[in-house]
Amino acid sequence: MPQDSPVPLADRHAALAARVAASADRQAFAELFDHFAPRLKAHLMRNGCDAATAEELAQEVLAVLWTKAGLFDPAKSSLATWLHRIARNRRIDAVRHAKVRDFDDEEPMLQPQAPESAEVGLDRRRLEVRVGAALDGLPEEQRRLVRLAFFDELSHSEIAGVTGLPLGTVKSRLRLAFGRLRQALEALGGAV
Amino acid sequence: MPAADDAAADLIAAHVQGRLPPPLDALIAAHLEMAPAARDFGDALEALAGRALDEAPGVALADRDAALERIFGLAPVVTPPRPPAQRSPDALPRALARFTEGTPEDWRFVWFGIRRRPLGRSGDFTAELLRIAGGGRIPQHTHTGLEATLVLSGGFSDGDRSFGPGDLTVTGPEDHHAPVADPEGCLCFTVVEGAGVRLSSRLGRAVADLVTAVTGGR
Repeated sequence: MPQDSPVPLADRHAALAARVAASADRQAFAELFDHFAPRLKAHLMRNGCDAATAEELAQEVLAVLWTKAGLFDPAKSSLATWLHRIARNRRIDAVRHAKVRDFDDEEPMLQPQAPESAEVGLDRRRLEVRVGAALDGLPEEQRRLVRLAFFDELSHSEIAGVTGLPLGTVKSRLRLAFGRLRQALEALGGAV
Repeated sequence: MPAADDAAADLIAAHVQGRLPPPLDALIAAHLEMAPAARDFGDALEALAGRALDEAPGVALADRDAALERIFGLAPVVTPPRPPAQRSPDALPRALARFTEGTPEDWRFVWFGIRRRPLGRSGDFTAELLRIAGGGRIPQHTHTGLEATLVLSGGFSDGDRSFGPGDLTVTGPEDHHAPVADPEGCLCFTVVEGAGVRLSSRLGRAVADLVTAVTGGR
């Protein structure tokens, strides 16, 4: 992994988001904007948006952070995960309606979840750390495929093209990797 | 790990990555709302995608300062966390409620004890709600592509497997199946790819065609 453990970065982002929520702190927001806006733009472009649309959607996602930072709950996810979800829903809505509708207050990830029953609720922060550890613990080949799928955001057939592996092998190795992730969650106490 | 779980895991991964067509996306989102174990898996993949967003290189904005100024012009919205809205046990999962919004409550005859409420086509996929009376049996059938079924209430069994609220089944074109509803009946959301469901027996097809001809599909 090229980066330090993701947790200090997530803590830094959570602290900045808290300042935005508490006092509309422009300096804190600008730091988050400079980190996330270019990354969201790149992410959206990897998923088929042209540069102008990607930039527009990325700005809309960051505008949600500015106006609704109080709804981000660091106990549930990292800020990166939260913004990724908002970006995905925006992109799907844009495809489905051909226009982005007004912000939906009922969007589940912006609402406090229904209280989870004690036996199923995993601590979300522990889950994020665990997923990172599970990813690092995968055999080299599986980790490479997961990175191509989730980090480079290639489709299965694109991965087959890049690696020279048959499509069926790509699918089955990704399934093995998913199985390992699910086992890691089980070990964490969830019934997955 | 059963193959059926693999197919469901593939769909959950595709949902997290935003690669599913709208009907399947709504189906998987509803499954994640209803099934805690699936939600944990989905959240794990979300965490992975979030970490990817943190680590991947960015593409510079065309005009960063102007974008920032525009956002600073928006008034922050103070939204105190609300308690979750009271939802009746019969209410559709939120993702499905959104998906069905604006479609008519139009239940049509399919087969004895089975009614369907069409929810439209999207590309290659047809979505509908299916209501099966207690003990109702769906005639053995195949489909030309993928069929994904989410149990919303009640349940059914198919061969030696049984399914309850929140359970998801994914079957491919090669699978013949003949689900039977539990005594309390079953409400399902199904998404079928391609030309849709095809009854396996010639008699079944003939009767279904006749009923459709007589009732106009209602």
